[in-house]
Amino acid sequence: MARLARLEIEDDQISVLSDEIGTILEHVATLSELDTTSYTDDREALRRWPDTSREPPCPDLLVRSEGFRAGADGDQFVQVPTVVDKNH
Amino acid sequence: MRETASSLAESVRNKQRTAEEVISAVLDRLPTTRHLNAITHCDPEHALASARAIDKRIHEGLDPGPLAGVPVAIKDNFCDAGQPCSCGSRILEDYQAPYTASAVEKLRAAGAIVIARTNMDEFAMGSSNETSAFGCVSNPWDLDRVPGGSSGGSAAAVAANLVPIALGSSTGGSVRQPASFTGVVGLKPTYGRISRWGLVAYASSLDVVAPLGKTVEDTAIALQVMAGPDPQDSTSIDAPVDDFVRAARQGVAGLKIGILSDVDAAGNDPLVSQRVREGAALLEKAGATVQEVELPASSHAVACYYVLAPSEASSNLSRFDGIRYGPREPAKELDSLYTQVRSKRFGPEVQRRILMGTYCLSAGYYDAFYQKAREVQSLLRTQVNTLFETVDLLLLPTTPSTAFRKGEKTNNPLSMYLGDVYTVTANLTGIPGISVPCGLANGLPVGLQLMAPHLQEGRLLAAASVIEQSVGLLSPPA
Repeated sequence: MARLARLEIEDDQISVLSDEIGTILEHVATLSELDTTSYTDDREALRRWPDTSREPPCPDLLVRSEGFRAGADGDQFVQVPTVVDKNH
Repeated sequence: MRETASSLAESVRNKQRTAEEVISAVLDRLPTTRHLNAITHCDPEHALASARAIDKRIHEGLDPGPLAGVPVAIKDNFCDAGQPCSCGSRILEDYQAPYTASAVEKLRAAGAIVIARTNMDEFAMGSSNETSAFGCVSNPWDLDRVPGGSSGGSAAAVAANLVPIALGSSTGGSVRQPASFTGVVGLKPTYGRISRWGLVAYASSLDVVAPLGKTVEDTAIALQVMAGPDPQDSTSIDAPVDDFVRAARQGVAGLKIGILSDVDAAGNDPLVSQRVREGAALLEKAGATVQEVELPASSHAVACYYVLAPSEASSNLSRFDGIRYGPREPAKELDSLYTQVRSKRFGPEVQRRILMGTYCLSAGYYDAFYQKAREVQSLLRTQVNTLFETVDLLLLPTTPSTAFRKGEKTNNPLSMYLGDVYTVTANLTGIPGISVPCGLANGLPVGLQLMAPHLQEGRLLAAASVIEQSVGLLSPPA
């Protein structure tokens, strides 16, 4: 994972980091307890975009308009590409 | 600078004093606050030149703007042409911004004078300011305690009366939490209300520009001048900008306020819960009706946030690799250069979040973590929208406790993250939220938080004003 993230973790830090991240992911895994079967895939909304651009803005809009386009192209690592680049 | 921004600007506009006199006084005072470590950079010449330009406008009979001569501090993740922009990180320690953020430009256009850049958690990842490469900021109320984060330097600068307004950014509570810890007002606007152009990205679907102020009115003015659409930011909202100062004076008569039922949760400091309940009583006395409400998915909000934010961060921070950004480290080949630069110059918290994000987005775990978190975010948004069909505002603590001691949580990241339990919901759902001081607990400030439906910042400011008028302004011991 560190190589994917282009990071090099010192040997003495590996077990500490693993423990910390493991504890956090254990907490995060509680999300699986929630019933989200009513969830609608936002990629449907993406197909309608930009017709939806005048809806009240919310975090969804960015993901609809940018992230899922990349996601739909199969690149999971490019979640929010275009707008992010504009920030620089 | 014990004066409010509004009274200070009025005195400059009325020629009772010049902007240059105001800024000179602040610059003289700056060294006396050095022990707080709240400021990472100050350009006195630039500030004085800006002040003289304001005085010239007034002399020529031109409108100098609603913030004429008001000193402001900006968080170190806002670009300001020709100034350093380090984001509290060693990877950007020599970086100078090539252009100016829209929010900063709008503040200047309103007459404000940027006097300093403020310390912050590295790349806004932290809740205590302890992850900054420049060292931790001290809380003006107790120097052994953290000011909160990630906008801890901005909050400390306002609390210490160095400036009446400061600029912060919020991804999961980075303005409301430090505002609560330092006894100032912190406003997280609706997602897209203020342009993010020139704000260095952490998690782009959650990031917002957010002002801190000594008073609710000052915070309202800051929002007023920065709000509005910006062609440079496709997520900025093309919606009418209300008169927020006027809205702040509207009172709460007739409003229905829902108080979150877990205000008295076992993990909360009982004194914090008590102050928040007292705040609710003040709103009731002012004509609002208060009822208990529930938001079941909010108990999973922290888990949801700590999947989505690191996932976006792992993508956003991939650009810092020693090529476009960051000083180059000696290396024999390109991959090694990337790795050397990132490993040596990102701090431990940033590395931890990049690793978590990379993990959550990896093919084998994407559905279980990232996709599931997106679904929970959607569920949370549905519950919030449903809640706002029955109440006008949601009332809750800003944080479960008052400011904690430096080092108290550094070895337990999860414990640090869980402190964001009451703030992340507003970022995950895009709604506005505000923290306003509601009293003291064991000599430390307590923040009361209010949330409103999208674009209803005026309603937040009105309720926060009622609390402020009853509780009064808090100032740290001299």
